[in-house]
Amino acid sequence: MVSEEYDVEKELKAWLSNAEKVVVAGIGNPIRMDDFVGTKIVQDLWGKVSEKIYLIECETVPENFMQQIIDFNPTHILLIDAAILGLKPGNSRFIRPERLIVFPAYSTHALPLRMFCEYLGKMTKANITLLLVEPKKADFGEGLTSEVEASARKIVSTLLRILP
Amino acid sequence: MKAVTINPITRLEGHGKITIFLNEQGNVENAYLQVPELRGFERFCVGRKAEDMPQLTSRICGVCPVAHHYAGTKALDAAFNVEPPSAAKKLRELMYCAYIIYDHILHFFYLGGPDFIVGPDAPPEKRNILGVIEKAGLEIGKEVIKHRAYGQKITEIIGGKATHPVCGLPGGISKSLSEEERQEIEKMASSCVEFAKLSLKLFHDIVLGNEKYVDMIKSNAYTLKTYNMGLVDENNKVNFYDGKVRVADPYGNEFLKFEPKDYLNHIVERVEEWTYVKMPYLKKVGWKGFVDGADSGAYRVGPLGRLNVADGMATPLAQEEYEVMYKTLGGKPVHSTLAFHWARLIEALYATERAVELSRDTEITSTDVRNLPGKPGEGVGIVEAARGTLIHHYVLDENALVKNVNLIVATTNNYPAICMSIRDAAKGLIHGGNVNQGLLNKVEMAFRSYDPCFACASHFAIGQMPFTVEIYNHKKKLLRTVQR
Repeated sequence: MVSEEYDVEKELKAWLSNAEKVVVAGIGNPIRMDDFVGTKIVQDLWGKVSEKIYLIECETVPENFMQQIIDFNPTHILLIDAAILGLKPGNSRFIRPERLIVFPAYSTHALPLRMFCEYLGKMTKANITLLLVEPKKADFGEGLTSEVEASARKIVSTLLRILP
Repeated sequence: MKAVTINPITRLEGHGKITIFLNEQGNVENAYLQVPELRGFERFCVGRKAEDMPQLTSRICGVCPVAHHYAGTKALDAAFNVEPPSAAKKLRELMYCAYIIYDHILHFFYLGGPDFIVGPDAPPEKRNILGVIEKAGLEIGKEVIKHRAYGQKITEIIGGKATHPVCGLPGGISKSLSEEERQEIEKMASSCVEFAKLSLKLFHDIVLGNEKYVDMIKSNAYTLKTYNMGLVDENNKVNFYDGKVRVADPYGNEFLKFEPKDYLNHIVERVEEWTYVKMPYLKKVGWKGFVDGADSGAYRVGPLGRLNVADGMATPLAQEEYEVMYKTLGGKPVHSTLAFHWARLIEALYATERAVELSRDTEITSTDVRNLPGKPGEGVGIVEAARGTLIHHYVLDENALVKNVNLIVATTNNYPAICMSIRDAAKGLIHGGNVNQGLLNKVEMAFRSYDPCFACASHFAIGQMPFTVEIYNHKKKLLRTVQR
């Protein structure tokens, strides 16, 4: 049986195969426990990636960073967020924005994520996709649960291996 | 009796649920907006250091952190009995204008405005920024992003961070503005004036140019004759950052005008068991339930509330448009809930003009931006959040630790009126149990006009969920669920 982590890495590798400039945007509320995972992953990438990567900590308002994303002129945009996907806590899925309708992701921004992606798609020529992580707890509070924390570490490690 | 539940609300910050109760004939009996989650900022801030409050409370919401930041900072000014230097006040107001610019643009183009621009009968998947682009062109989409980013950039320059600023200190602000930064802000603010004018032109062309829409704005289904509340400056003009709180009665006459510190003499918060959001009302009038009119203490805040209590706008272009609005809609006060959208754009224009004025003020680059605080005590700070009057009230102990906190946020102030607007829109649009998507869209329009933020209202934050309608019979048994 192929492990889920392997699948995610394989898909990310394939997706990034012709990437030249990549935006990695972390979404999530720092005071909503595992919801923070996207932002945390981006925080852990700071200082470790090349100039071809533009890191953004969107927290709860990704739409506030659209101009910066457009200005970077990326070939690829990777959005990382927590989402209820019905998986085990910490498991992740690499999905296309158009699939969001069947993956009703919760997150914490005013503009629905799918609409944000479509809007961004109209404003850039970039290839946009999402890496969604199943949270265990998204209650009010600080810090990730151990399962999601472990997943975040693996994702950081994977991204450091495969990002251009 | 059966109940129609819309849960949760799309395209709004936070999580709420609308329940419309139908009688056995299938007509609307009542409607309530429920906010089911308690976050409790007022509780866990107790015991924290006073100077942390502007940072802590800005985390209540990702959409309006600047409003909480400055309501908190002003409450600390009062609590430490310190008056900021003039340059610091101007810098705060300049940053505040930038916040109003990006927030009002957000609402008009992303959240509530598409109901009008794309059309109330358009399918839900079209009533958003993508529908706006389809209708008004790709260029407008680019301009929206650019000018929201300008608002954010100005906030970042002055506030240190675009989303959750860190500049406010009791007695002033943490850093002054360089000449280079001033020039950059002036350039961005000037561009925002042109964008605000463009947005109003769009509103005139698409909304006011359509007789059907104008009739809808003026219709009884979207009319609520309440008191109004907002901050005004010394000339009774709209001011977002500072001034006295003015209340006008449903006929437009001044009913109250008070200093922020006296708010508890005039506002009472009522608790209902079915929601975590309190129901404020005017103490002098009293709570009469979910009814409008001069005998009911319910009031409205936000763009329309502010314009209704003010004698005008303090900048020329906004004043011009202010006069057009009242002339078009039959004079002052305007009670149409849907007129909030127009008022919002007038305010956006005012914020841009005022930002240009402040960026050209010779004092704005002064380095005298902080006075030292006095001894800790009690303080109230009031600002006008994009959605309406925002009150922060702190009591500090002798070590400047927080002993007590009370927050009344804009959406809370509007809460009774929002419930009434939903009910009235539903009464006019749902008959004989006929509940189709188009009708529900128009009910949504009634509350989206207020630009409500439930993250702020219950001081909690959660986000997007599927849009669900639940229908119950009179025995409260779920009959069916419709989801989009």
